[in-house]
Amino acid sequence: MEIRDRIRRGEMSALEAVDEALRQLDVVNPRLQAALQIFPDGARTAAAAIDRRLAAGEDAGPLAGVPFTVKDNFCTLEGHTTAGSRILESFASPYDATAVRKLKEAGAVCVAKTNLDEFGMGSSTENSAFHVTRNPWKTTHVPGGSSGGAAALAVSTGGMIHLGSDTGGSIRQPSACCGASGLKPTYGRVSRYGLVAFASSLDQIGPIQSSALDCALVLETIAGADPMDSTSRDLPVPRYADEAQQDIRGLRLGVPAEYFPEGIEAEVEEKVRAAIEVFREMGAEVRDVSLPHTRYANPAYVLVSAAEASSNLARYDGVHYGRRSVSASGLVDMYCRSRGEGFGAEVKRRILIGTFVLSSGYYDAYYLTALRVRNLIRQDFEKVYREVDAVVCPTSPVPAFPLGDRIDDPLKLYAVDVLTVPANLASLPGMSIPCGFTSEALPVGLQIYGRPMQDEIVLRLACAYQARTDHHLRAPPVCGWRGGEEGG
Amino acid sequence: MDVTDELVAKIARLSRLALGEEESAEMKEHFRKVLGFVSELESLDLEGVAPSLFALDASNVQREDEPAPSLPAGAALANAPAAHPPFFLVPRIVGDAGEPEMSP
Repeated sequence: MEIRDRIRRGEMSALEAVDEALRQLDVVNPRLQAALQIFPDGARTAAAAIDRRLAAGEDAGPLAGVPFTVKDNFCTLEGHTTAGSRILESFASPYDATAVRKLKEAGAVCVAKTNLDEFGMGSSTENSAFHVTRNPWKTTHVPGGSSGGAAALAVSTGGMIHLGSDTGGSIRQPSACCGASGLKPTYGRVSRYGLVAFASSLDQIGPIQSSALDCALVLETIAGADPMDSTSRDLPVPRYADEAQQDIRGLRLGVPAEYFPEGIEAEVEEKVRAAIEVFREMGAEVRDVSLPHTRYANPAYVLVSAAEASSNLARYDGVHYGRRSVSASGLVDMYCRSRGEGFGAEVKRRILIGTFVLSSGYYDAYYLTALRVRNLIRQDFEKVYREVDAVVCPTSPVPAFPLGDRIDDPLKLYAVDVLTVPANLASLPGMSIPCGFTSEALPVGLQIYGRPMQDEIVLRLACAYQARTDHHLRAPPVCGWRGGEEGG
Repeated sequence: MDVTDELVAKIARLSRLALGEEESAEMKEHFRKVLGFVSELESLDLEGVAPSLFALDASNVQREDEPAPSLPAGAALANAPAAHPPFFLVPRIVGDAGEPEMSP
């Protein structure tokens, strides 16, 4: 991470780094609308404090002065925590999410919060209650979602850390759409405390950067056990940045036929297959594998995630925080109207489906069935991981699509998650890195799946690929980091 | 299965979601589509397959039962739409101001 090294060497102050981040946000945000909130005053104050500590010869942390953004479903002491929803529009969190706290303790400085589909429910960032975000490669197109704001900034700005969250692909799919490098760590690797809950058995926090090596550095900082999240695993945190730079010779990669489904765009398949050849050239062993239940993953995901969402979102009752309807009479009416007024259409759809599949008479037929299928997906991977160390495939069957193209048909939008949801159902680490561009100059994402708690293998493969290729170094037309010029 | 207006209304009630007429019609259509989408799962033989909630074998994790500072009442109430410190304020629930609770 160049910015970190420059601050360390004293070539740049933390304040200069933050001012540069703010300048870049000023350049790109009017065109991309990637950030929901920017904190110039708070960030400059925090940076000045870091500079004073550095001047006094103190250790200000491994990421001293590095600016960061978080998706707006992370609780932060800065600004509001909206989750992209009207119902939380004025919610000011009284605490920082653990991942945010860890970044701050490492010396990083919060500069902005990024746009998302409401509560993380969507694959295009068009479901934000506030505004849509645009793709820096083509502003008529979506950046993917739900971490669309973070992915758009990861490639259009430089010298910042970006955190996103992934419940069914929300780090990896926008990374693919924007040409960013995004890691969904193994479930339990990063504490979810302070992440606005969508589906608790699937949600995971991770970095979205312009390179896999930067993702490794960020993971090193945010990973680890947390007493505030009992699902965070108490396992040693490797030095991911060192691990990521190890040789990949001899690693065995599986290519599942099921991940090149009917309907996949020809250019996506072509670029991904070419990337797999690069791994072979670098000394990895590539073989065909089968994950036979892949086609059932998305229907199972739709049911499981909706069920958990309906339970998690019951907390928005207009009593403790968030919006309360002013036109209600009585308590139950107040609940119903506050929620009816505060949630957007897609969130309501998922709450209703989730309530339905958990309701008496339908639980076995839908929810329990979906959980059984979840087990089959997991078993598929367990079998394959006896023969290979990682699985490589496309991140999404399609590149970024035009704004408005899928938003009116929820099922059409769900379809783009088909290759990412298995990682969440099976609690695996998964990463997307750019592996080429279509004839329309839109990025194509290569996805790497690893074994549980072997995030370092995923990062190692991604770093090795990026050491051989330069797709991740290309600047999009909307860009703030190349001398501050737009145009590419 | 048959998706009726009554089913959507019942689920909306259980979800504590007030829906307009147009919204209810849209949700009914959405139910049909989703149930069609997931019907593919019916073709699987799931006999003997256990349901899996988490795919990692983490058992229950408990922390020491030691007192620790928690959120001060003032901070907890700061985001309340209506409060009478140290209490949250809700509409009247006794007498005839609230509708009776429903059973699922």
